[in-house]
Amino acid sequence: MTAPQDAVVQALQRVLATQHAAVFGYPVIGVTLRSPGQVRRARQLEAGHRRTRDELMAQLAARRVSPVPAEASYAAAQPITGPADAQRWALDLEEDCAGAYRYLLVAPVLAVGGTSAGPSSGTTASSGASVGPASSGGTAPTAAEQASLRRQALTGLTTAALTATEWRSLLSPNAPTTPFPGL
Amino acid sequence: MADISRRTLLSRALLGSALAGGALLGLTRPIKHKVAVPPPPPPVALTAALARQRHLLDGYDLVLANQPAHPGLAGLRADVAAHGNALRAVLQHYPGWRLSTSSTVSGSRTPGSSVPPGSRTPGSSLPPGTTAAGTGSPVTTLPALAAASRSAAAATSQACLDWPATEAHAGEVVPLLGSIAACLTSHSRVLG
Repeated sequence: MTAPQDAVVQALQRVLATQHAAVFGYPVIGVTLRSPGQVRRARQLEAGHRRTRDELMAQLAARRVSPVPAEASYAAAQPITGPADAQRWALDLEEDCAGAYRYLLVAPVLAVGGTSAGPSSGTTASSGASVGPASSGGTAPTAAEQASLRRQALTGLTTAALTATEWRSLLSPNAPTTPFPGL
Repeated sequence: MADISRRTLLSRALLGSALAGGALLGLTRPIKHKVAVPPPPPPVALTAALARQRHLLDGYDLVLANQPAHPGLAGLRADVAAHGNALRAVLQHYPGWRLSTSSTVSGSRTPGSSVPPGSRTPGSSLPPGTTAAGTGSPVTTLPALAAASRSAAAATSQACLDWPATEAHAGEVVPLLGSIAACLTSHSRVLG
């Protein structure tokens, strides 16, 4: 049976796994894009995901949990042959991040016994979001911890949704948004 | 003077004492009426979110009436309509909501209006200036639609953050409100 804190740790690991994929993906995306503005944006996003990844690793280390490592490589769903493929991969990476953050919104709720179905598992480039050997299962998160995690998850979900909208605007200008980011 | 038999006298005396005893008992014992208690109203945070959604949807309809060829506006409207469907589906978990909607079918009440002003139920905290009605001035222009989306996103984010983790449907409501808030933030960005 999963201990209460394990659900939170698993959710954090899942977010970290999507950040690893984004840190790997954006440099590839950046060299494939043609527009200087989009290349600059890809670099900014890579830096942002790198920063988030480092913060998440520190957050997991503070919980005495081994952060899930990056995979050797990540592949896009389709071969990257031009700017449109690169934009599509960037969109996939951001949607995976949104899915992971949406799960992080639910995990603390489930840890304290909230009911109802959690979100469906998103397809991430790396699905190895396993709990490390020094997992700190046991007690449910405190109210302050829950509030902090929920704020972190909502901020991450909103940021990923906004970035996904940027890429979707290039791919399908008439439908740049999705009703339920992260689902 | 009519003669009264001993049996009649006895039965009348018995009836009289029974009536007097009953009246005495009725005066001393409290009367318990069985009254059907209505279920608690649905959480204000959800009905307020639905009211905001309706306000936005009306805004989209007004703006689309003026600019039917606007690219992308129909897609954004479809997102908002989907939010309404999802919120109504979650509200079905609450008997108070079901009662109010069934009353509406019979024409006596409006859904969501069953919430007494100021009533606080789990997850009912509303940001300052947000009412359960959730409607301000009608939205007729794109900048107003952007502003309304921004305001709705902020209110929905707050509702998501404030929803109690121990509430029965928190596992469903929290991610739903989070996704709606993220979507509306994207809308406000797209609308400029």
